[in-house]
Amino acid sequence: MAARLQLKFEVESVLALAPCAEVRFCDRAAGTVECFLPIFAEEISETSGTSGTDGRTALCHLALRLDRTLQDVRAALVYPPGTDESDQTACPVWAAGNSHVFDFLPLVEANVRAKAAAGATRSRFLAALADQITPLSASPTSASFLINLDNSFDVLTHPNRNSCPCPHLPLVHETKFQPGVASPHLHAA
Amino acid sequence: MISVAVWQPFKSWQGARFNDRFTLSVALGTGRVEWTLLLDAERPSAPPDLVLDEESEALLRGVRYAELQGIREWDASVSSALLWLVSSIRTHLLAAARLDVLTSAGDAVPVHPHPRVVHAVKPARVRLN
Repeated sequence: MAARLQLKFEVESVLALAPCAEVRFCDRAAGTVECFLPIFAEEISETSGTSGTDGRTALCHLALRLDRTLQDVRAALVYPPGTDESDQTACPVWAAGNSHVFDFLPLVEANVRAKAAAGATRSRFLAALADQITPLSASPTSASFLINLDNSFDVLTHPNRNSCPCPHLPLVHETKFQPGVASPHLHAA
Repeated sequence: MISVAVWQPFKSWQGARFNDRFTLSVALGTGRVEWTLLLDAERPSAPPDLVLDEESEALLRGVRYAELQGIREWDASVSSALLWLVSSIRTHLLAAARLDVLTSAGDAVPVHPHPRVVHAVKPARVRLN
């Protein structure tokens, strides 16, 4: 009876925290329940209702497989196909006896959102940095400078790289300015 | 958005003008369920029948197929009609599965596995030829 109530408590916690979760028996004979919860970039506001997702696309889903005794709970994050591995975060481990949905789910959501936010921040940082280091924005009085560019930076800073006559080194890109002399690395913004 | 794959097309009888039998693979949680879609080659605009898997059919016995919005408002000229129908059945199925879990979670053998059973899903028409 205690195990039954514990499982029911966890399932009800899932539904309370994620009303749009998909809950079903995945093995009726063994009493195993699967919960499939979407994780969004932001929390659904209380005023927007409890069941709708407002057409938003989930960052990923948390697949939680609860066994009857909660001693062998499996948790995994399911990302949409094609999601880059570097954009994915590892799912925390469910500690039998210590973990409960009401603290486990917020932890997973926080991890996923932190990873997504870090990716967005990185993109903004790259864009801002590219603006800063593009030779077009350099002072004409600069004698020279050295820029370390990985492939991503190279693409960002050299949108016309295919038509650029200069040889771009993949990792280190050195640009030397001579006052009054146009650099071959100057590209239209 | 739901993931639905339509595959295994074949004709229900040799003289049919086009394929009118398909297998639908519908995403449900981390898994998929397979249903059989039965169209009528002689009446292409008629609403389809669906043969569900055993588990889904047991859960949906309380749902009257003919009263599903996707069936009542079936319009073969609308490209999303089938997706809308499958989506509505899936919604009913998930609601039933949720109730099923809440009423019997933790039981070795559910005391009342399907307490809402009232009416069977519309049986499929099968043409023997």
